[in-house]
Amino acid sequence: MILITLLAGSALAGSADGIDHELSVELGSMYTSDDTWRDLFDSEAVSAQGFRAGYSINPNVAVVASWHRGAHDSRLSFSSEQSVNMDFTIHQLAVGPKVDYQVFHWLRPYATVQGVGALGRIQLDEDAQDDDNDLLRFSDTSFGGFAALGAEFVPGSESRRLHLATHIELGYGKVFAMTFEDEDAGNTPIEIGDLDMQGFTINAGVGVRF
Amino acid sequence: MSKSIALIPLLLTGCYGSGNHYIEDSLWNTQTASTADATYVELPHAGQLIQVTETPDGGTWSVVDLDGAEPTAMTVAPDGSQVLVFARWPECKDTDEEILNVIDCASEDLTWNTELAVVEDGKRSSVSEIAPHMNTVAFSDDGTVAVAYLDYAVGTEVEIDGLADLGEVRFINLLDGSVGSASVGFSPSKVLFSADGTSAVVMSRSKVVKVDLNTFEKVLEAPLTLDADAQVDPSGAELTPDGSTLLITVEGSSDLYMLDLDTVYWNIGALGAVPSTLSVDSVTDTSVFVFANQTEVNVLDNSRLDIFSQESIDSIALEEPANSIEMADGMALLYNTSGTDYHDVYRLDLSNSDLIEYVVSNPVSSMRMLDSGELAVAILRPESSASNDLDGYQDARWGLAVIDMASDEAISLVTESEPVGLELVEDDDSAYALVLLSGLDYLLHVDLSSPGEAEQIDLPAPPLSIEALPDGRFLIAHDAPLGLITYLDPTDLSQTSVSGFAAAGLFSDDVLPRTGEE
Repeated sequence: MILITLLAGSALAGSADGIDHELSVELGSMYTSDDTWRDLFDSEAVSAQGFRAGYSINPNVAVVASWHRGAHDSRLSFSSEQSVNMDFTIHQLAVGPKVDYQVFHWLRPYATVQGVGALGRIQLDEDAQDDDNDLLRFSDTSFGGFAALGAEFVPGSESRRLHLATHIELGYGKVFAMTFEDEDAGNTPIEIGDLDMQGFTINAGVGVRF
Repeated sequence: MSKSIALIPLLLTGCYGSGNHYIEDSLWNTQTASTADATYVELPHAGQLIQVTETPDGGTWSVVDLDGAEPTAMTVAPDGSQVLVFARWPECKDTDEEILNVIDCASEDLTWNTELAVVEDGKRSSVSEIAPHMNTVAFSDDGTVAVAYLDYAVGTEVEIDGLADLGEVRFINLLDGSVGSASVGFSPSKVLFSADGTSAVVMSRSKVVKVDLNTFEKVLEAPLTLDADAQVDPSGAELTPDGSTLLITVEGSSDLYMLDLDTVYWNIGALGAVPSTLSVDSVTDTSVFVFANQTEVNVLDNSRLDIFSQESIDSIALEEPANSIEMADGMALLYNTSGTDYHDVYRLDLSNSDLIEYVVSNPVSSMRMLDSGELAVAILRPESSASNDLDGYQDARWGLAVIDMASDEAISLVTESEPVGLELVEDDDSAYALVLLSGLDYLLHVDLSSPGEAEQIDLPAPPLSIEALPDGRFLIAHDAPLGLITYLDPTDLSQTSVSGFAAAGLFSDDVLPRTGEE
C-alpha cells in the first residue's frame, strides 16, 4: 500500500536535478528454505554478484534492472569414502520500479518490487582432478519476483553532476521451482528433481548516479 | 568518511560460496538386478528405483513408479522377466493437511509400511503387503511362486510394527498375483520346492511344514523333536531327487533327520560327526556330507534311506577336512574355506568313489565350477607365512587356482590385488574366466586352457562386482558415486557403459505418498 501511494504521488513529478541514471555493482545473498537444498548444501544462502542499472522517470520513481550470478558449490562425501563435486549456479534477470524519497540530499530510502527470470544450472563431477570423467549438467529456467526496502547513500556535494552512491536493501523473494533436466539427454530429458528458492534477500552495491 | 560508508554494505553481505556436506546413504546400490531387457538400480539417497536401459549410444534411465515407496532390497525372478522389490513407504498418523513432507511429520506419528512389489518392463505390475521383518525371497524351480520370509541369518535389522509372527511365510503366485501366508514355526531357515512344483517344504526351529502351492494351505507339519523344551535348528536341508524324502542336518548334531513326505515317517541316523554341509546328486541318487572337523567325506545312498545304518554310508578318508561342496553331474568337488592352512581340493567321483586330490598354493576363499564339471576356478586368499622365499611371496597374496578335472591338474596363480568378482563362460570348445581385481580398471580374461596367458581388458573405472545376465552377457558395477555400469559381451569382449544414473532423484523431496487414500 505504501508503495502504491508513493507511485501514485510521484507519477506526474519531473526529475528536478537532472540526475536520472544509476549504475552499480552489487553483492547479495538469497536465502532458501528448500528441504532438498538444506540436504545437499551446508549453507541456506546463495551468494551472488552482478550489476544494477536504473533510470529515473521522475524525481521519485525509477525503473531498475539487474543481472546477478549466484553460485554455490558443495563437495558431497559419502560413507563409502567417495565424493562428488556439485556446483550450483543461477543467473537472475530482474526488472521493476523503484520508488524513493529524499530525506537528506545524501539519504534516499526506497522500496522496489521486481519480476525475476532465472536460469539455474547444476554440474556434478565425480573427481575434479580427472579430466576424463564425464561432467553431468542439469538446468532449468523459471521465474519469480522479490520485494525489498532499501536505502541509498549519495555522499558529496549536491551540486555535482556525478555522484558516488551506495545502497543496501533487504527483502523477500521467490523463484518458482526449477526442475533440473539433463542438458545432454536429447529428446528424453532426465530429471533429477526440483529446487524451490524462497526466502529473505539482501543486496548491497556501490556505483554512480549521473 | 563519507566514502568509507560506501563500503559497509559490501562487508555486511559477505560470501557463502562453498562447503562440504556428508551424506550417509550412497547415491546407488551396486547390487543391481537385471532382467532380460533392463537393469534395475536402487537409489538409497533418493529413495527411488530406476530402470537403466542400454541404447546404441550408451543408455538411458527412468524412475520406476512404486507409488511413493522406496526400495530396500530386490531380487530377480528365475525366468529373468520380473524383479521382486522389497519396499517401504512412510505414513503420518497426523492428518494435518499442512504436513506434506516426511520431515514435517513428528517422529512419533511416522510409521513405515512394507510391501513386496513385482516390477516388470519398468512398471509395478502387482504389490502385496508383507510384514516389515521379512527379508528373504525364495523361488519355486519353475519361478512361478515366490516365498518371502524372515531369515535371521541374513543379519538385517528386524523391524516390528506392533505385533509380528516371525514364523510367517508369504507366498506370491507371480502368474496371477494371488497371495497366501502360513505360519510355519519359529525362525524359518530354508525353503525347498518339490520337483513337480506343487508344494514347498519350509524348515524352522524344531518343525518342518509342507505347504500346498495351489491353496497355500499347510498339508503337513512334522516336529523335529517330541521334547517341547528342546530346540532343534536345521543347519542344512535337501530333498532327494525323487522328492520323496527330506534330509535335514541340525546345528550341533551329528544326526541326519530323514522325513518321508508321503508317510510322514521320521528316520534318524548317525553321521559320526557334525556335518558342515550336504548336497544331493541326482545322477547317482546319493547325498554327500562333509565335516569341518573330520578328515572324511560321507556318501549316502538315497535309495536305502529306509534301512539306514552305518553300512548305508560310504566314508572316504581325506588328508584335510573339507567344509564346502560344489556339485556337478555324478561328481562332487570338496574344499575348505574356513581353515588357515588347508590347501587341498578333492574331486570325488560319486559313481565309483574315486578320489582325486589337488593342492593349491593358498587357502580357498570361494570356488566356481563350470556346469559341465570339467573345470573349476578358485579364488585363493593370503595366508601368513614365515618364509621369505617365493613361497612366502605367494602366500602373502591373493590368487586364482584353475583346476582341470580332465587332466587332473591344478594351476595356482598370483593376482595383482584381491579378486572381487569371478564369472565363468563356457562354449562348445573353450572356457574362460572373467576376473575383476580390486582397485584396478581392467578385467582379466583368462583362457582356462592356458590360464597363465590372461588378457587384460580395459574398463572405464575400477570394478566392484560382476554378475551374469539372462542374455548371456555380464554386468559390471564400478566404483563410481554417480553410477557406472558396463555391459560386457563375452563373445567379442565388446562393452557398453552407462553412467550418471545415480544423479536421478538427487533433488527429489521426501514427500509423504498416498495421503488421502482410504
